[in-house]
Amino acid sequence: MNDLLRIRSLSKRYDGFDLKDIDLTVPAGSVVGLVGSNGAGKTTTIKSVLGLVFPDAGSIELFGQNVGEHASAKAVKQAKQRVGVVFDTCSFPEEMTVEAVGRLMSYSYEAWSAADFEQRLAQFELPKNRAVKDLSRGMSMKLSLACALSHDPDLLILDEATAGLDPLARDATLDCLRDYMRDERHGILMSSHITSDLEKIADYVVCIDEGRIVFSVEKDAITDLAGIAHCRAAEFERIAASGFFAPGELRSLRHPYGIDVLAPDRFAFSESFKGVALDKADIDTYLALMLKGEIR
Amino acid sequence: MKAMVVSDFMIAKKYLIQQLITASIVGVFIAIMLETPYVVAPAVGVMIPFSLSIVILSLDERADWQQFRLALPLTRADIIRGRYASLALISLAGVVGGLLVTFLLVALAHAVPSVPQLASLLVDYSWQAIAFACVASLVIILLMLSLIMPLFSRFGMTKGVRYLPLVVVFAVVIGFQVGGNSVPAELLSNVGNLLETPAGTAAVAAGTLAVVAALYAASAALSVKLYAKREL
Repeated sequence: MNDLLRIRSLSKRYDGFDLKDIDLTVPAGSVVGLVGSNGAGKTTTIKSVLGLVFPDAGSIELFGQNVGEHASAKAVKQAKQRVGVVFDTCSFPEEMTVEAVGRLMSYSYEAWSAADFEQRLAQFELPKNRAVKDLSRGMSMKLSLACALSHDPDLLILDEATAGLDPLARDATLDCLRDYMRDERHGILMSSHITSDLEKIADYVVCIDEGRIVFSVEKDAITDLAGIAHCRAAEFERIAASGFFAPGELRSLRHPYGIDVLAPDRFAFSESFKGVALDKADIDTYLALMLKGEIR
Repeated sequence: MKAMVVSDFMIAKKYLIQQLITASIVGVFIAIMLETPYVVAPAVGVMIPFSLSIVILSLDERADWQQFRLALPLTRADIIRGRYASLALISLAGVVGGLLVTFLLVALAHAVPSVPQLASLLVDYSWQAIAFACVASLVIILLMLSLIMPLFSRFGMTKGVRYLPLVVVFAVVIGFQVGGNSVPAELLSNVGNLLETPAGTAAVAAGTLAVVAALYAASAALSVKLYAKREL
């Protein structure tokens, strides 16, 4: 399987913030969700890939081509021809009309398809003569998505692209992304706070916190395999003393009415602790336990 | 680079007519007040490109447009060179606009000589002076852009404006030093004599434009270097 994006040991230092040793891969045919709290380093990682900031160390490859340190401007430009980008805001000049935005994109991307763009405008019901400033949040994000897709990119980079959209608009966006992913050469790197979106579409989930990768797993390892055990204090002590978890592997969060324990394999856990209430994990709970959980 | 020029023109187009009307009213008003048609071209030729440049530069910082633009398949050098090209073209358009308004005003003065405010515009009318006024407006706006663009390329509009007074003061001091110490009086006198003849006016205009074009190109080269290091 070839990698569309490969980041190795990426580091970037700012005053009061340190992105350190980020490793991240987007294989062809997969959607990688990037999660983490605000200021964790997700956007800095994306900006590094797009050449908006300069990493202090590490390597970045797009389609096998170095686009990081010492990369030629021409090579970076060629690689970006194969990338579609959507930021959390519609970034086009506000006075431009939808039609003018399409014209501008046609001068930027060699593979731009005016017919494809027109079709997406019709699909998204975007009026061509409306100015960007007059579009609603949902419409402006649809325009951004139409622009990101109309040159048939191999890699989509979405930075909080579904933030602020209502559930229907988010579903429409996800449908569009699913349609895009029918081609196995395509891939998506998608940073989002809306983990339910990632549960619907991601293949891998990478969590960054305070500039470090906390976990990088297949989504199914969270949503299909992992579980959250809800214990009383006595049950928790029994689990901790059982040796089921290796030292440093038991993660728990205390609540007023009990203790949640992260079970990486809920089937094995339920075999060992039959009386303990156990739910399937979701990304949100998994994230909370991984980031805020007490380790024992 | 073409994408950059196109995007700047799409933004400029929206404001061009509005600015042309405003600048024409101002230019014609000053011309009638001062009883000379030669101020129209500089007024229109400087006001239009200056205001459009500010609009274009300020829109860079709205809604992360400058970040998104850099995420497109454009090199940093493409962005700066494209910006300089579009601002130069807008400056030329401003001069052409100024020239057209001047001709319209002069034509009106010829058509209605009974209006004293218009008739006074035709006293000592000379195409050489009009040409010189056009070149002067182009020189003024290109020098201004040469001065501010490296600053805005490095810091962006919002932050760059804070340093602008410093750069202007340095430029004025250096300008006075160069003008006062390095330009011989004889040269100035010769230039004055050249301006008396049509061929001389054309030569001085071409020479001045060549010097300013060189400065503009040097400013662009500096901006490319500064923008190459800017993080967005």
